[in-house]
Amino acid sequence: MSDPISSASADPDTLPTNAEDRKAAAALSALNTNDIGADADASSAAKPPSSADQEALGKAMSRLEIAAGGAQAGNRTGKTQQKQVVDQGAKKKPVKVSTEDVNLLVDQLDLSKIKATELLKANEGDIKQAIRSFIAPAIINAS
Amino acid sequence: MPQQLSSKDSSLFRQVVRFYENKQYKKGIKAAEQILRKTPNHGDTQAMKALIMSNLGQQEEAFVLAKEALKNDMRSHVCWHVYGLLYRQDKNYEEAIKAYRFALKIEPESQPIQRDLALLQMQMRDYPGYIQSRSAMLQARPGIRQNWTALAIAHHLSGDLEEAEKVLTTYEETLKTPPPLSDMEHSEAVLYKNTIIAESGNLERALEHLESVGHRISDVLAVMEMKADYLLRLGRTEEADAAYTALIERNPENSVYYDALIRVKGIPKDDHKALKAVYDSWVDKNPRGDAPRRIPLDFLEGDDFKQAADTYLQRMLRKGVPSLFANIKTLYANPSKRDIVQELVEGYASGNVELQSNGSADKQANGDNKYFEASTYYFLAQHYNYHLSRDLTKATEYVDKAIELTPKSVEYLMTKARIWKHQGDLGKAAETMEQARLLDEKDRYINSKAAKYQLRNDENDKALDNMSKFTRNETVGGALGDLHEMQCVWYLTEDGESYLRQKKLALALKRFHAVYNIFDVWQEDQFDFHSFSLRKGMIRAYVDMVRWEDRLRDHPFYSRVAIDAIKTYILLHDEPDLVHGPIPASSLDDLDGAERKKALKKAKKEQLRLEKIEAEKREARKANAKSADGEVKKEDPDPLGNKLVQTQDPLKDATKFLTPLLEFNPQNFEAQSLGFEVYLRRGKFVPALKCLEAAHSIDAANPALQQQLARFKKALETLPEPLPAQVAEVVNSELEQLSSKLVKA
Amino acid sequence: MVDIVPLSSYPSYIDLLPSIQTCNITNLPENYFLKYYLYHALTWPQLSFVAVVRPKNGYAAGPGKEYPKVVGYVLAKMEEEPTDGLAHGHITSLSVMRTHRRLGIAERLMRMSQRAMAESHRANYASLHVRMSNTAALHLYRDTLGFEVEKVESKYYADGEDAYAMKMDLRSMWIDWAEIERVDKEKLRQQEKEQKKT
Repeated sequence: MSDPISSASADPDTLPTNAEDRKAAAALSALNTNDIGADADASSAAKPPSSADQEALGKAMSRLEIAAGGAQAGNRTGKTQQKQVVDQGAKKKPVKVSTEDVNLLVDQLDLSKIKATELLKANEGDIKQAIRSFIAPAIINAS
Repeated sequence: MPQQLSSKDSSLFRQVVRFYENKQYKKGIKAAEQILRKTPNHGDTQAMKALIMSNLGQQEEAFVLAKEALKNDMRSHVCWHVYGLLYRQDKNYEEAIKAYRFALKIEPESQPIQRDLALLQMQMRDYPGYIQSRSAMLQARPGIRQNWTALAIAHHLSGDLEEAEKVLTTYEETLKTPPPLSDMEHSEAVLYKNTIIAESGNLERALEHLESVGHRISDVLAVMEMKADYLLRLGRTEEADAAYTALIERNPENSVYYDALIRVKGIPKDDHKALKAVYDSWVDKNPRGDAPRRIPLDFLEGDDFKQAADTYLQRMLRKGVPSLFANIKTLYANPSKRDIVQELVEGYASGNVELQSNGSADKQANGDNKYFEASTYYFLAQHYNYHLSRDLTKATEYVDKAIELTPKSVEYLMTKARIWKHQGDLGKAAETMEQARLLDEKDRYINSKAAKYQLRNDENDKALDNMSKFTRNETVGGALGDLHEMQCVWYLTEDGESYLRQKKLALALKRFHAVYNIFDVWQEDQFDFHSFSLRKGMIRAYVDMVRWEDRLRDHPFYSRVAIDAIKTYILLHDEPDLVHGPIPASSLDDLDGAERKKALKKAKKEQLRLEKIEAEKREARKANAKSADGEVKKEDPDPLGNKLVQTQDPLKDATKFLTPLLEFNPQNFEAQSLGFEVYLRRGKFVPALKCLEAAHSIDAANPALQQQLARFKKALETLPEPLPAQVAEVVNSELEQLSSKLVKA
Repeated sequence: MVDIVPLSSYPSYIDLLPSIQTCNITNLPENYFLKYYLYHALTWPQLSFVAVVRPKNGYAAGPGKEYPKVVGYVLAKMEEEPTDGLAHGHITSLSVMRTHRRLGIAERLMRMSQRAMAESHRANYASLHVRMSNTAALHLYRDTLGFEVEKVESKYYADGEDAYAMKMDLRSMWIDWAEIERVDKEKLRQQEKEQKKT
């Protein structure tokens, strides 16, 4: 048993004729909002905070900023706090890699430039080591 | 200088925006055109019109107009924003992000631009960028809870559990009074926080938190499951026992609960009596359930097994449960259990049924003997058809007996078809499945099966005709179009595999690419939920979806089609004549002979004929489609896959399927083996060697490895130009190691 | 051995969605985009359940994991704009593979979903549509589960067949939210009192 809807179209101008079909198509179409105007956000904004009062929110924001090292719009300071997450494992000194080596890996290993650069950097620019670590099977214990 | 609008047109422009936001596209276009009549070079209006056009499917025209809008007003954030939205529509995410950033530079306070940037960062899994955007959005509107939750999600997904939890707690602390139980957004956020604590590994704290908030959370089952799980992992056996007991009372059909319950009870694996007692107590509480009756068959041995199996089999045979054999066959991994089952059911078939000693419920069922005999024959037919107990003569005998008793049984005929298949007669198999279909024409399950068996017998047209009895045939492209639109992966895959068998590579590739594209659509599907789920507040399910999408292509639907497609491309590379259609193998060997020429000519002629038929079909459909709603829907420009098969570089195209396959299914031997074949042919020795080594680590004894190693060495020796020194050095040393390992094996 | 598990709550089996879609298109004429399943799973994660064959080696995660075979599912939602103004659940789609009938799977799926509608969403009732010719399903809903026929919707299905619109009251399964809130408030007051003492 099931409800009929099939060609749920996202365009409300061409909704299906059957009632239940129409409901489903409308549901899919309503998934994304088209808000683009400057006042759009205010109009579609969720209900105002239920019992959180503005003062408490203000305090909370400042607390969060201290904790987060200032997660600001421009976010320059924020980076320091993100370091553990983003650069994990790559904390060592920046490794310089030559374009020639990168190109060699791109050609021989069939990698994208970005991946080749990453691989080379992860292996401290040592091309042979890079190739070896590329070959090493990713599987530890096949089941 | 950008053009200015009169105040009347300014308000009309605001209307254009509103029409767009309310998805009233046709009205939007009209209003935009009205403005442009007076002020033809107004960038913002052009941009808005372009955006609406793109939503109406006129992507190319939209891009042209958007570029013009930008030329007219380079300093407009609207123009840049729209430009970004168009790129997004085109799935060119990098360019879209660049455009959004421009727009944001011009209008740093704009929430819609910031939001669109954030959504794209999420889609691309640019977590540092997403955290930054979400921080800015929270800064701008701290009063909206969604913004807090979103920032927490950003931290969580980027791997910073601590920060995620902190954000959620910080918001919670601003709440003066606890929200009512009806506040599902709150309930979910609290439970989400609990999953983060648990993920951090601190189960003690997760449990403590859950115990203090759990009774207020609306997802009752989830709270019960989580609590039981934590208790089990913390070794708090008594409480875990109670928790799993409560779960089984709610849902007695979940073997995971029983496994856990047995674990917390600390019953040794070999204490079958104690184990059986636990399950029996659940049978009493839930006499209609299956799990507590079936599970003991897994651990019982010898006479105990025989007795339990006897009870179980008789009960199910009396009820005529069609899935009985499917439920039993996993036991056959143990040959003695297989033999006991065979002995028991053969016994029933020869009238050797002892009265069962348990439960009045079963005795009642005894009165209802009409199923028993036929069910028994049906079971034995499946039993002798199964690969671990196969005897196809007996299987046929029994299925015929069953059919004789109940000629209208769809299931029995289905089994008969399956037996034909195992006898290697695909024609008879398809025919028999078709007979089964005719017994119940309103049932789509048997219809699907009949179509599948026709495809296995390479009767593609017949299969589609059967499928069309349940598809919406008014869809563009007819029944096949509907199967594409409804993402019917199984059919497309089977159809493609059939064409591959027939060496109709164009159509095979066409189907395999269709499945590939469906996976792309599924990946794209998540986009709307980055904002929608925040509005709905169902965050745990959202996070699970994000993680699933990241490994979408580890699904067997993908690996199967990828393997098919790669095989097709390798075949096309090795036998380029197949581009013209199927050519008998014998004439391919006969390289310059007249036979080959003749076969080629025939194939080309056939190809032309098919193209003509397809063109005619399309014309016919066009006439129909137009009359329906006045709009002509897009037809596939390459329905036969000719463009796909005429590729300049089949191996490069194969790599498109291969890369995700190797990434998400590295433990698949066949995938590694095909990877080797593709890379070796492409002269990419390092990745070829990588595949070979991976294959070796999966199945060191596989005979294919020796042969591939030999070909690899030969290819290396006959290279026209040697490998670069550093590459050669690594390859040779790795090769030596692998060779010695293989010799030992 | 068939297990009934939640689709997208805890634990999450959301990666079964493609298999659920296949189960649907194999069994039923009414089919949906994967996105429509996602929409259900992500909007009402408590309401949908899946019936799967237990994999030989259990439900291991990670590489090499086996996707269990899906043999049934119930896809359910809350009605978003109820015409009668009463919050209620709705069964969008339910099916069990023909090979796995007579095991009580459909009944179990339905009961799980109905309970979640009442507990999590305070649904007043559950509603569904069923083809008038589908006697087996009608038997399940009316005789086994206790649904009642509300009305006949003529030409409800794309092929022109009529549907019974059925519903079943769920209020007896509601959780007493007022009582929980009362007890919690009481506790809070008690705590505050004690804090003042010290």
